[in-house]
Amino acid sequence: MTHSPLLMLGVLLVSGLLLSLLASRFKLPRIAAYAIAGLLWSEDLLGGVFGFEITEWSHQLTTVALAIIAYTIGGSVTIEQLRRLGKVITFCTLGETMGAMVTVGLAVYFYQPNVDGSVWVIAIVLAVLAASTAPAATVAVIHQYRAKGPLTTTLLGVVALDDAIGVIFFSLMLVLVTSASLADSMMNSGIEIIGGIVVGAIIGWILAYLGHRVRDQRFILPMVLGALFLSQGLAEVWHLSPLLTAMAIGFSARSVFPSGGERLFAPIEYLEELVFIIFFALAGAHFKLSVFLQGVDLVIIYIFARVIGKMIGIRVAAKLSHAPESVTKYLGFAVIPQAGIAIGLALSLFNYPDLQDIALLVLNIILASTLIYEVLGPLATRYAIVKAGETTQS
Amino acid sequence: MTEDFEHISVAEWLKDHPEMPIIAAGDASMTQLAQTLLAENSRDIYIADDDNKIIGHLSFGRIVSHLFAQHRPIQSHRQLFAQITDATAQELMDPHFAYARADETLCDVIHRQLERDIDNLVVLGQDHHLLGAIKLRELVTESLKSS
Repeated sequence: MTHSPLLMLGVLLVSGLLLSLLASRFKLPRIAAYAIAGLLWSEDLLGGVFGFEITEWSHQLTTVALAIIAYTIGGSVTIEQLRRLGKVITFCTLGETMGAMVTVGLAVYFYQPNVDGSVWVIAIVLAVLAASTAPAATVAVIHQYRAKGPLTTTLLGVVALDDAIGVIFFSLMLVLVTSASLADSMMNSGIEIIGGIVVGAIIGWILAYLGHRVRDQRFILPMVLGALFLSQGLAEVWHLSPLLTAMAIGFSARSVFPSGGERLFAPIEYLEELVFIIFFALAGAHFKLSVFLQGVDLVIIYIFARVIGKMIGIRVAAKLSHAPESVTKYLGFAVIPQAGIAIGLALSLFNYPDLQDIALLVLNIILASTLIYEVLGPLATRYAIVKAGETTQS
Repeated sequence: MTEDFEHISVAEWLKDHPEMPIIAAGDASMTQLAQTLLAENSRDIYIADDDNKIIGHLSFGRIVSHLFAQHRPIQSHRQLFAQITDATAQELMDPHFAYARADETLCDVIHRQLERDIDNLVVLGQDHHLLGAIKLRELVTESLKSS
């Protein structure tokens, strides 16, 4: 069997699409279909039979896909919109992300799992991956039940904002755990983080300028992709944070050109579904039963610690920001879903030689927990909006 | 009449059909814009800055898709933020809107108007200052009169 990356990618995409079409007929979540398609081609199943080797070629693809997501997240909000978000949304987002990170980190560290690799590294990596949620799953439930009210509005704000925080903390974590010493870490932090933001801001400024000047809409997508490829290449060569660079491009472009949202971001938002198919199919293809069984206790700990952390974090933050009672009592249930961003970030661990030992274990934990959250998350979100009295449909 | 459009300049057309587009301020909310368009029975609204220069355009469809965002099952991060923060006209407008100049012929303008699906095309002078608007409805009416 050939080891052509294009053939393997094609097989994964086509399998993912076919299974998602089948899943939609039975009203099953499409992202689970993408993951199962990948799983079918994993080493333990058909991938082993046909000699598929996914890990070697998928790194660059993950980098580009994550850059696309980071760019859209960075450009999703203007500074003025951030000011208008309000105290409750800001506090609750910080509360749930910090709560999840602290609880997951401590739970994994003190559990001391019997796995390969440093326990504190596994704890900190899982902690930052616990921050993000799944806006798509949340929006789907809100739409299904025609929910409206303070809880719904706060929930939409929180799920939109926490992905950005998740990406930022993941980038900071990478700087920390891939540095040789504390002094090295401080130095690297400066270069990777500040350098990444500066380079991203400059590219974003140029992109906004060109986006404003070039009238032909057909040039926008190549322009944005060109800027992203260039930024990721520069980040690689100059050892900058690739995610922060891409996020800074989006944020800078949108800040320079505030009304350019539709122009500079809508074309690339169409690629989001493709990116999520790639993430889930690749994650599924990386599934390894032996690794999963080795970390099955961590899956359980991760699932419970993340939920508990988010609930406690939101309760504290909601009290501090004097949020409405419905938000304080029920928002924690609604932020359980976890999806594409966490999977994509976990996949990117393979790009770092220092994290190769734990990458497969972490990816398997995140994949398994995502599939479980995919079932439990929408139910919990539904529970929250029903209890808050914000649904108009049963 | 259609053939005459080749010889009529926008300036001449505006003398006989002195129409003005609907204008709103950059900080207007989507609800205010929708109410204005409904009251004026129009599909196009232009956004002006403090110096009365036209800086953008919003179609009724764009405004409504923002107002009805909660009825859509899929939204990007950008659309979520716009929904929650009650995005203003200036944040959602298209800054690359179509417009006409006074010295152009109607033939040039009609193509632009149809291509961009605009009922009321704004006519701008120097520095994007407003001169008037060309209503597609009036162009069609004139055209049918002579046929």
